[in-house]
Amino acid sequence: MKLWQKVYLVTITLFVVLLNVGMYVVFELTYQKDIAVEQKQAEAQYNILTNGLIRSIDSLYQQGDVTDAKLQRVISSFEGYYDDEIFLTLWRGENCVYPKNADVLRDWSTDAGNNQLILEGKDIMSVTVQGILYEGEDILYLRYEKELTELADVWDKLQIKYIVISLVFSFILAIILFIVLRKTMKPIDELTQVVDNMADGNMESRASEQGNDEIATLGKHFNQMADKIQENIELIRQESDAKQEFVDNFAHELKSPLTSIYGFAEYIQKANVSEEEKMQCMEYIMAESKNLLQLSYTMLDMAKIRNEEFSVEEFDLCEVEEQINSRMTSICVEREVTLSSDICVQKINANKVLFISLISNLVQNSIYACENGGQVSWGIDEMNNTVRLYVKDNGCGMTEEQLNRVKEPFYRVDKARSREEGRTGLGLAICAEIVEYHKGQMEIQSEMGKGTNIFVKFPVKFTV
Amino acid sequence: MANILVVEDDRHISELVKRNLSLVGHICTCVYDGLSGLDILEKQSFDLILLDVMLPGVSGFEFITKVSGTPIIFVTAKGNLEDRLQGLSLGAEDYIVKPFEMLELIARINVVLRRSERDEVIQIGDVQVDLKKRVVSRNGQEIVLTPQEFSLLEVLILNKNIALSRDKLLELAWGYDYMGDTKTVDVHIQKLRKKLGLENEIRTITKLGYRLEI
Repeated sequence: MKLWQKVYLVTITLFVVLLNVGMYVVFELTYQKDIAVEQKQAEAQYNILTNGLIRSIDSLYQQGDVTDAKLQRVISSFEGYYDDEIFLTLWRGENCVYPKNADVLRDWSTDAGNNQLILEGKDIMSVTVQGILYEGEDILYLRYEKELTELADVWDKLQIKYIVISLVFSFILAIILFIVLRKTMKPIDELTQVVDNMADGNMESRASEQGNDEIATLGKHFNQMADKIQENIELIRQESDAKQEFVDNFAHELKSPLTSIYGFAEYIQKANVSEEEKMQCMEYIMAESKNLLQLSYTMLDMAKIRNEEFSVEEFDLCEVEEQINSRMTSICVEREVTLSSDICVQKINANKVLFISLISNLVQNSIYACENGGQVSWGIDEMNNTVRLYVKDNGCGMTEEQLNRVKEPFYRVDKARSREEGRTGLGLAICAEIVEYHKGQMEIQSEMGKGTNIFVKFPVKFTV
Repeated sequence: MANILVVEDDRHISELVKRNLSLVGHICTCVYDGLSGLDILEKQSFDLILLDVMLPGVSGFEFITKVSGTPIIFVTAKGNLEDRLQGLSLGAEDYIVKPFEMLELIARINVVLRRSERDEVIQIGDVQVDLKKRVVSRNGQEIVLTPQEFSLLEVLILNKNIALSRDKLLELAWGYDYMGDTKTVDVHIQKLRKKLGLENEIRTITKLGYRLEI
């Protein structure tokens, strides 16, 4: 059963029950009061009646020779004086004298005292007052009975009226309540629809935020939640896309060396090759295997940077400068590139191994970008309390498209030469990881044919 | 047999393709980027171009739109359906995904070359083989070969200087669905050797199979 149906039924039932119970109580109280008034009236009438009767009967007895007929005449005259509603019954001792030939048994005693009030209900409502009328030679008992037909009539009509009115009002309430509830519940239905839509994968669906009741508030909060979820999904999707791309690229990266290795092995197996040719093919196979090995090491390094906690320590940069420059000497000589460095900061707080890896990767890239006679300079300076690492070269530079893609894993600006030299294409991707680990920012400026400048800014805590 | 241009930026693979195609008698010219490929096409004409997709400078997909008349086979690591369809819809004759087997490359090259209808008579020692007319003669005298023997000879010729395993020979000369024994290959090789007097040219390679050496 739906919520609105529950509310509807409960409200209607409560209304009908309470209305009827309430009205019944009010009716009952009023009725009791009316009855009491009737009883009082009856009692008063009885008293007035008996006063008159006693006087008449007294004089009868004084005259002597009281016959039943005489008594009947007196009573009848009194009864006739009132309208039809009153019935009198007279007993002389145990004999019923009036009404004539009625022979009603006196089934009551005087033990309970004079003037007993009895209310009889059921078919004909009546008030009965009975008591001893006269005590002398005879004992006369009188019963006064008054039918409450008028009162009963009024109440009957009132009851019918009440039932009709109560039905009408219940009906009106049912209709109004139905409309109001449907209107109130409509936003909930709409919200449910929105939730359904989202469950079906339509993340664009949003609840209406009109109004300022609880449902509108719920809608607002729901929308906020939906926004957040959508944002997160987008983020996860981007991340998973990047991962997928990495895996695709990686698979592709494996294909080239594997093609060479398999191909040359097949060649040696199937062709009639000379010893010299065989050696050459072996060399290719070994070189490509080495590339694969290098690739796996580099991938492991990347995984390490991502997953491991590295200690941050204070270290001397002059030492680092020496280490890097000596490491680069051989390729500088090979490529006829001059390397210069300038360290303006004495010490910094970072992970030494990663920091050296970062600088050597960047410097190496710059050297590779240079033709013979190129110049590479790198250094570390301090600006506004932030440590800045820069690597500049006057090498081949990059186009805008290359610049946008250069941080992608396995992206190579000069693919042929890079692969030839056994580089993995992961250098800048590793650098990006290291910079991110140290919460720094890397910026690359490049112009085709003029060279490339790379700046890495580290946050304040890297200064000692 | 054919003049082939190899546009491939991975030098090792380029070298590998060149060596293998040289074995079966093709002449290969290697270039390592798209631009020099287009340059050389202006000066020289080729029977076939083997083209990589991811090339520095001009990509393979761009390259193919600038070439007309020469059949092109893509040889690339990009193996997904989208790339294949793009390559083929741009007019490539075939699309080979790395890593590939040399025999596969040679077979596909042969299919494309045969499509461009080149009749050729191959000379093996003193035996002439006309692949188009399916006629074999020795010193001007025709030698009658059964169709199966000719098929085997054709496979050996098309993959000359490359050792072929018995299974491979069964597959290529008899077809995938042939359920025969590899002994069948040995029998037919013996017959070919005897009929054509090619005892030295059709060499047995231990633990592998046979190789036709020209």
